[in-house]
Amino acid sequence: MADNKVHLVQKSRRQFLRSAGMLALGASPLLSLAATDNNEGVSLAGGMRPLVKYPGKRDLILVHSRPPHLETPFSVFNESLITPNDAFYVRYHLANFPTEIDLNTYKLNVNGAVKKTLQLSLQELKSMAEPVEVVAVNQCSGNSRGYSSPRVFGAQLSNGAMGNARWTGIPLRTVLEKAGVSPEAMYVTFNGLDKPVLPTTPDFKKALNIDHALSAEPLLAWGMNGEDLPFLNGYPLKLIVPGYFGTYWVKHLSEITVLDTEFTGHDSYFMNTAYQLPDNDCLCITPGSTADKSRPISTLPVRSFMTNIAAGDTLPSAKPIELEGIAFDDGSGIKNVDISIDGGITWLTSTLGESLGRFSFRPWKLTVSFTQKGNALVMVRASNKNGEVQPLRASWNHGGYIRHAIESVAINVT
Amino acid sequence: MSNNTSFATLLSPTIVSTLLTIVVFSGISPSVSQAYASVDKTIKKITLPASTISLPKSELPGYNLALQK
Repeated sequence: MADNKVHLVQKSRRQFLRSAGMLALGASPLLSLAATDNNEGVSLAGGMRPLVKYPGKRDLILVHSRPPHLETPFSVFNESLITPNDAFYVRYHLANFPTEIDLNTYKLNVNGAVKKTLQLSLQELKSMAEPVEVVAVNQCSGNSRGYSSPRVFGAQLSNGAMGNARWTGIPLRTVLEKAGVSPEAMYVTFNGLDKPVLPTTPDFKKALNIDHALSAEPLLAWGMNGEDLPFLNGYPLKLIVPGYFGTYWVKHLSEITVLDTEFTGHDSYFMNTAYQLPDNDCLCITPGSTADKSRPISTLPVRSFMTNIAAGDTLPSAKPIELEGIAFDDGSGIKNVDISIDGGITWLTSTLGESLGRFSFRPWKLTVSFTQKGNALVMVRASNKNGEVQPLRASWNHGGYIRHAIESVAINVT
Repeated sequence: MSNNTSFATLLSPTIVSTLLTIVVFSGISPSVSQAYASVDKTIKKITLPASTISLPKSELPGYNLALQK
């Protein structure tokens, strides 16, 4: 039986329209203007953001260049469940980051409250245990910050500061056990080769509590989707913390320190001052107010997206249309992804696709048919096995962190 | 008859041995878990784009000094 569904291939259509536009402009004085109009088409408070090419990367959205902060164009998430290495977003905090790494001199140092300090080469790490793999989502804490209202300080990101990859490495606990962790250990801190330019700037260090660090989940990874880590994603070694925001996934990992004290001091800034959320049930505050207490950001709330339609698309009425997208959470497991094509009045449950593991993007699809012509609002809402459901409206916090409200896409039905 | 001859030519010992070689090697290709493609370069280096944005110019004294470093 012939498949008469309308399959949406928005990326190709947009590329065609853009190419056609460029061809039409080819002989006109407007060519020079069009040539500079190299952007993804998403406008935030700062306007359109240019696409740029960095080493090992395809054209990505430039958030800023000092140091590199590059966002993945959202159309990439309609290509495959796994985000290609050359399309994976890039986020540095410190401008003095490495551009050359020699594996002859590279060492991972393990020190602090341990029986024996270690200095491990990459080859020694690789031979320490049988490699393991996990497919896991790395999402920036500020993904979608550009949609915070009122606007907040920080990189104005759309929805592309995330990616889903297959990571290869060894469990963190393998290395900690080899070093012999003190029974008094409380935290483990992680530092990379990127350094601050000025001594007054704190180093970028992150910490996990000792129980989490000794669990089976955190990995020390050298492989990403079957290849070496891309340089700008942390070559040669990266901390992988499945289910946790990307701020913990330290790049160019070079030092692991076991603490038998609290993590305090100048270099605890990115744990104790930055990346903090209001410590209340909604993790939110009223704009203009200050939270009484705060706590470090941690796990990914349940979230979902539509990947094969975008705002402003035109879809036909009275025809079966297959909507597709992704959902993810902290590893609790996606329970349902529901779709509304009438602005949230009624909801239909989609069919979940193949699971690549509980920390991975989970695909979903649903065939719908629009009965009325005109404007329509398509919405997607995920729930997980821990009882979390995406809220209708985004809560607000000063950092624009953990946005995970129901996503809506306004389309036109003809 | 000439068609049969051409076909027989195609099955010449050289071609058959080539096909056998492909079959044998595909049989010992790495498993999925062994397929990790590590690049054995000792030194890895990147060169960043010289300039990716046009920086704003300000009339404020000293404003652009930091940007020029």
